[in-house]
Amino acid sequence: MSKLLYGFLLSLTGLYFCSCGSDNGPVNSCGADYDQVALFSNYVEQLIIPNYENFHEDLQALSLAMDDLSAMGNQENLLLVQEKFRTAYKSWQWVAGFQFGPADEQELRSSCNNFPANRDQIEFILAGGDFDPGLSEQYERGFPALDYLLFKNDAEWVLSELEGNSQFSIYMFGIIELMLSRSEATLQAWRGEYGDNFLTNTGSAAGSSLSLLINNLSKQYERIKSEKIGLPSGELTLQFTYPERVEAVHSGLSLALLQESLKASKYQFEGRSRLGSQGMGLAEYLEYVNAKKGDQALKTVILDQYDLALQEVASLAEPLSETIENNTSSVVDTYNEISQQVIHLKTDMPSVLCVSITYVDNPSDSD
Amino acid sequence: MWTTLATAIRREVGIAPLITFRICFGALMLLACVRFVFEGWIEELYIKPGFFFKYYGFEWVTVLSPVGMYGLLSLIGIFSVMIMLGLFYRLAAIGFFFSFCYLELIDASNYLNHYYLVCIFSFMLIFLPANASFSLDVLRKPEIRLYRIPQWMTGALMAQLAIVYSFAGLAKLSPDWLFHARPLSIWFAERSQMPLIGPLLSWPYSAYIASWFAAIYDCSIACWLLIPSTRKVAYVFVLVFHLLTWLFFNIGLFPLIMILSTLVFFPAPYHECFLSKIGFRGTAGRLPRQCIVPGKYIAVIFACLLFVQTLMPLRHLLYPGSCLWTEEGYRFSWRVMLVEKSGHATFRVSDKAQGRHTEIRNNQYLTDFQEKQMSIQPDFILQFAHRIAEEYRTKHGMSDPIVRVDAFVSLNGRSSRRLIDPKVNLAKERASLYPKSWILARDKTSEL
Repeated sequence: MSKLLYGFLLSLTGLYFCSCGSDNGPVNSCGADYDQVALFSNYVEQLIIPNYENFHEDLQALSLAMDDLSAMGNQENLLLVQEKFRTAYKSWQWVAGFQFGPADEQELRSSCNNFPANRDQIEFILAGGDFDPGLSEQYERGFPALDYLLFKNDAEWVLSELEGNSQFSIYMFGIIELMLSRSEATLQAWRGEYGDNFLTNTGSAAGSSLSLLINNLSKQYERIKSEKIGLPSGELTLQFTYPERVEAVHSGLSLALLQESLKASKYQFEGRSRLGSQGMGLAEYLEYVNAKKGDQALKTVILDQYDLALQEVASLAEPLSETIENNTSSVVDTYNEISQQVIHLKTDMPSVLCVSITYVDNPSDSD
Repeated sequence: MWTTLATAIRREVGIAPLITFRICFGALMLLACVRFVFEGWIEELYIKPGFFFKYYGFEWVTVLSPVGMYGLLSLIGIFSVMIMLGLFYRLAAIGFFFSFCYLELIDASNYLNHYYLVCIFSFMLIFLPANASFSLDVLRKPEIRLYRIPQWMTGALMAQLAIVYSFAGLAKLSPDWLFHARPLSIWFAERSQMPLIGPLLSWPYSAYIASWFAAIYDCSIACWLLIPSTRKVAYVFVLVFHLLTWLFFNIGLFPLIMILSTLVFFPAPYHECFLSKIGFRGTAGRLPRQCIVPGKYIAVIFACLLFVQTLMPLRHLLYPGSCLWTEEGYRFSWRVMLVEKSGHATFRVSDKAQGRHTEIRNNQYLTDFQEKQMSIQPDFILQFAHRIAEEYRTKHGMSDPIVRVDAFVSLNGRSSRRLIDPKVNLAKERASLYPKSWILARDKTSEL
């Protein structure tokens, strides 16, 4: 009996050595020996911190313009506020893919960009209802609420509200101050201890920096897909369209923001700064582990898909809310093109880099 | 040989191993219940979800109200204590078996091999006279006391354990496991930052060594445990192996279950040595009479059970393709820690008469955990497709909803492949145990 077992053991060992003869020994799977610290420092120094700085500065500029507007309420000041609003809203798209750690603690996303805004609640506040920005229902603050206040009606209305309705400026400043304080706290955390720890939190386990970057990239992409275009286009709602649900419906910025967010997502994948300088990124990491999708490099597949999606978005007519009504099929085509990428970001990239999609939590044991 | 085997299994042995088994089983299950409740898993797994995945043939098992669920868990806990103490033992074992099975049958996405093992063990305990010594029942009714039992009683437990190990081992003899160290290398890489052992885990050879060790261990440990001269060393390996898996992986009570139940391989004197310290008395005595059915029939029941148990893990041979990919014949086969899978499934419903279509947001129906399980298991994909069809038939007035899915799965660190034929109307496919023609084969050309 035991002879048989020893024989079995021996043959297994033999098999093992045969199998190793064919190549040059095992390599680390998932590129465990990739220089992750360098990767993370590029993300922190070239993307995360500069993008949050940009965002915070743009919010400050918006806030200053609001001060001027409330001091001397004229048409010119209002135009300036609207312009600063557009700039800041675009900058938001560049930090939207980094909503973990301090941003998560600050509830930055819901403070800045939960849409569509709750019109009834906004009207209720304007009519004198209570507003505590920190405790609000979350669909009456951030850019979507400002979009309503600044663009829903004409300039006359805004100026007269500013002059006649004290609640209007309390509300407007309440919104911007919350955004300012929370973006500032987030930025400070990244400049301080959180940013330092992020650099050295290597590996691919849940909670590691790599896992956070990949999970958030993929989560943000899914948000772009469903919130910015899927829901309003009717593709998720039996083709009943909801044009009023687009992002920035009153300022008509929807397409610009969609374009901006896709570009930000692409740059985040590449490890490219907003200004375009290329550093180490997830794209290069995929190349390093020689990740393939069919015959093609996974990196190329993903980059090509980003470009296709961006082209589709560029081909849409402004404003998105009207195009949804008049030329639904063009919007649906764009939606489908954007959807193609989800599987690459959500399944392929995490698998080959050994990162589990952690926003899918395991509430039990596994075996 | 058969006659020696027949005499061997009829030989009388001390009852002590069975007593240890009963006490450990009861205690462990009590621990499992307490843990389940305090981790908040009742809430997470049974109260939060609005939809539950069913086992084929057990569609009638439904979730209970929150109070009912806590009640069920309490009941299981109480039965565990009764088994542990040997109080109204037969009733407790029957109660445990049915209540535990009910719990497991509620949602198939919670399937775990060790829960299945618990079901089997509790079924066997119903027929075993595990309360015939060192139990409150013996205090109540001294006449049921037994000192010796036929060897086949503990032998059946050993055989069941041998089946678990051997099939777990057989399943590991695959190219992915042996020659690519997948999925272990993936999991090791994920854990490369663990204190102390992290650097060891990131050494590229460790995943290979561990894979081969685990394969050899699983394939042969039952033999080493059976052979008297290697038994003690083998048990040290049992301890090391399961403690390591417990340390590395989130596998809950499985290591403990295996560590404690393999004690049954040790003959009575070892057990008596330990049990006597807590008041057990066992010397010469008589054979069991007090069973629900006479001993011979129990032996037949166990023989059937073990026969089925040897066939179940082999049923995947009846299905085309790799069962790691199709999951046909995957459950109840001791394929433990064998794959790392992730997937993404996008469902679309349309209706010719209405002329409308829509994409489904899975998270409106499923918890994140359920969605994760569903996206990699074809039978769940089908169940969910039927759920959607039902919803759109009743709530959105579709007379003949067509449900299609774009499902992609990534297996053991490969890039993803399509799992399900995207052209097939899943609403029209029936759930069955026949091979599912709408599962796409995984082409072999681009392996790791």
